[in-house]
Amino acid sequence: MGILDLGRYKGIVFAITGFLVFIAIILAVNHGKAGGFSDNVAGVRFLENQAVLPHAVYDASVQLAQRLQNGEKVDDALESLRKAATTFDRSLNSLANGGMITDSSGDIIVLPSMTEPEAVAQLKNGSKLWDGYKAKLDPILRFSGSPYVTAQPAPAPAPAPAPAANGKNAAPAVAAPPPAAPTIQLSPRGRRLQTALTDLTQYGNTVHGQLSKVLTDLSIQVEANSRKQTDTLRYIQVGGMAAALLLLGAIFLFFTRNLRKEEASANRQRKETQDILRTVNEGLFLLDKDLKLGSERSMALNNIFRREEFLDLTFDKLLKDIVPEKTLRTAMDYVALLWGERVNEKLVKTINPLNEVEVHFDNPAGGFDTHFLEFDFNRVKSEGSLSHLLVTVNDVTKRVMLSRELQESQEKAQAQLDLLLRILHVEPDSLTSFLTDADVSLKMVNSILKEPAREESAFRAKIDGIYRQVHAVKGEAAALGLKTVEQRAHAFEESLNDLKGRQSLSGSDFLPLVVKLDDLFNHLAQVREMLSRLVDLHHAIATRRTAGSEVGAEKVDQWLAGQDQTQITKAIIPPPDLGETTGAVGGLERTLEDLAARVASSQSKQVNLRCAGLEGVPESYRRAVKDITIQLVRNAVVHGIEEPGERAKANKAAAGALAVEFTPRGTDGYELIVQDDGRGLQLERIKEVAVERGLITPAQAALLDPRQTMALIFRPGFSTADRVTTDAGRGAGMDLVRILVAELGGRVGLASAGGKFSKFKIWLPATQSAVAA
Amino acid sequence: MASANAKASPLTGGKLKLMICDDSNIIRRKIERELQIERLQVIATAANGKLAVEAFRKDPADVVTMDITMPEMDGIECVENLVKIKPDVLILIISALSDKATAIEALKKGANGFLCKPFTDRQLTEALEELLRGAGNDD
Repeated sequence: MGILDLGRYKGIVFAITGFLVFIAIILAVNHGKAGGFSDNVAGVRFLENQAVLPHAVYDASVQLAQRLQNGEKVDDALESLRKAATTFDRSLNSLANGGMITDSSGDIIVLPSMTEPEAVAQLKNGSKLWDGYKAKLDPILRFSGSPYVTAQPAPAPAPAPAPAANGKNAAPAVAAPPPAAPTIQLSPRGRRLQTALTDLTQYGNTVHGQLSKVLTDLSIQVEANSRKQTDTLRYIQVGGMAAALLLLGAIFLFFTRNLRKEEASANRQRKETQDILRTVNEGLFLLDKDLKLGSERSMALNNIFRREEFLDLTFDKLLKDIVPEKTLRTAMDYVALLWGERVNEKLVKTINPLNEVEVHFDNPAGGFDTHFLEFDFNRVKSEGSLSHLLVTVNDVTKRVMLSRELQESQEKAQAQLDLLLRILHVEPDSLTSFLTDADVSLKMVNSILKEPAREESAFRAKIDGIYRQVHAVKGEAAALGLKTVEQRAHAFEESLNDLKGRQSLSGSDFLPLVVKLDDLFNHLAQVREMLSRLVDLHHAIATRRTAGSEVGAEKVDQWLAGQDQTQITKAIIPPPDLGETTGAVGGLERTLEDLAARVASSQSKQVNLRCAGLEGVPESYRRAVKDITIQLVRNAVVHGIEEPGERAKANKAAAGALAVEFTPRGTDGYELIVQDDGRGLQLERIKEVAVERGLITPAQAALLDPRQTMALIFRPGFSTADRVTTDAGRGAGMDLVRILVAELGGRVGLASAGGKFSKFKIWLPATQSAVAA
Repeated sequence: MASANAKASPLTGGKLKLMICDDSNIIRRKIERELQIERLQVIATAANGKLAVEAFRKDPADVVTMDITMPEMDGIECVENLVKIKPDVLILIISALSDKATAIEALKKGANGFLCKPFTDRQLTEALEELLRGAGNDD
């Protein structure tokens, strides 16, 4: 981390650094070489200066010889010679000693070229010449004091013969002495000095030129060397520049290529991201802390939210028009929680108020479309802190609708199953009666609905009429335990209550009732359909039973009759307690008890049913006995037993007594007695009904005795099913009883005393098995 | 003492003190019985918010499970009080999901997570583990 973390810029930083280092090296080399160049210039100047020194030495020696010849003072000339000789000696030594020289400013400079073999040879040669020179100089330089004697005039010094022999280099040292100054003569030392000088000048005449040449040559050599270095420098500079350019080009190429590669990669990534965002089915976007939507988002959002523009949109604005105010508030609270530090993201998903939220979009038709959206929120962390919330949105309308449909159909199936089970529990005749009555009631409702009405009072009368009918259906359905029918009737009633409560009514207010009525009709049709299938099944099995498969058919018969429910329900409900009586007889007794209780309750009556001997009913009579007893028990409760008030007046117990007895009479067969302590048969009423039904004329009725009158109830058509009544006031099924008994070859007897009792006595012949036994 | 305890809490593995706050005796017993996180040690149970605050003052727990609907003082107010006493306490709301807004209200007061009633022992364990893990991650 930090300043050294160059990331993707590492390459370019290294490349530029390398380039600069390279340039620096070139410059340093340049600088070094340039320094050598100035040293060489100084060296050349130095050598040129030194090249005159041998002349200076020679000149000084000639001057000194001349002075001595002329008898002049020699001190300064001697000093000049000494100085020149010393300077040259030092310079030569320095040059020979590794090329060290001292330039004009006093700095010591090393001339590397002096170490080259050629220079060394020359210097050696120079040194050798100089050594010879020095040997001759030495006695002269060591001279001090005066070379003259001042006491007597000295003879003119002998002219030196040597110079003439020295040829062209002969110096003018032996110029003719002046004629005067006889008083100054050379001392012996002076003469020796003169001799040495003569020797020196002679030698120097030959050598000083050579020495000068040595130095001049060295100077030329240094100059040449310097030129060579200059050339080298130029080559280095040109080479350096070329290399720098190449390096720069390489860097440029490298980075251009890399940039292009990176750009291509970035473009590819961008395209991939765009492809994903364009293709993904979920709505995806980021929310920042101000709850503003990020610029990158999936295209699916357009479809989900039915909008194209999301720029500068905030989350609340996105939701404002499509969810209720309360949901929006809760949602904003929830999102704010996720921005906080405390809440654990995973542990609050279940309370996400936008988990499956119902939204409404306006549609062009002026209404709105309902959809279900599922929002999911995930924290996005960047460098350890929360930077965004990633929001995923799905349109889950189909899923929600499907699950609702599934739930509805499950509920419906459950309701049908309940209905079926209920039907199996209901005594078939009761159910048939109920269906018939309900059908009549609903038809009546339909006709009431169709009746024309204009005035408020007429509308109210319609409502009351419909209410009575629907209420009757509801009550009967409840008595039979047909919950689904009862619920629908109840809903109908609620609608009627709603209408009742209104201030004013109009014809259109009744329209919703038509829907409810239709619903009830359809439902009852379903019940009828179910019942009819069960009856069909029963008939089919009964037909086969006669062909032999008695036991299985009998069982089906039993459960169709509601006697043995275990057969059909065992797969659906837990098996009943084994201790409970589940036999067919127990089943019939229970059916009769239920029936008596239910009918009594619907009639606001009380009844005590006592059954005896039903367990002795032979198998072949069971069905008939069941049908007969059901009919007689219902009739007894409906027509025979009085209401408690009426019974109290007649000094009877509040609960009517009803007995069903089945007694075997040996070879005489069986006796079935159904007796109640009710009001007995109402002979006059029977006559009225018979006349009403067109069974007899009023004149005939007047002639009938009580016995004949009682017989009327067994006439077909006396009991009719399509009476617009409930249980009360209905006399149904006695002809059925007569037919059943007749089919079995039995007889029916009837006894009744007005206000006291009714007694049906049925004789059935002995069965074949009973006879065999 | 409390803060030192909590510092050691999230991932360091020391024993953590748990308080159960619910007006239903059955739920309290269920949580206690089904608690399968060894590091959590039940130090107190409370039948309402008021009792919970009192118990918490005496010995502040590190982790609290909190019902919302309770007599005397409801869960929302209780959460507010507990967080005032000990800001780094971890609170898991355990409530029936009848009204999400109420649950969110409790979280706004400083609770850290939510578990819906009815719950299985596994759901309870997972929620508490997530609660402890979340606290560790946030550090």
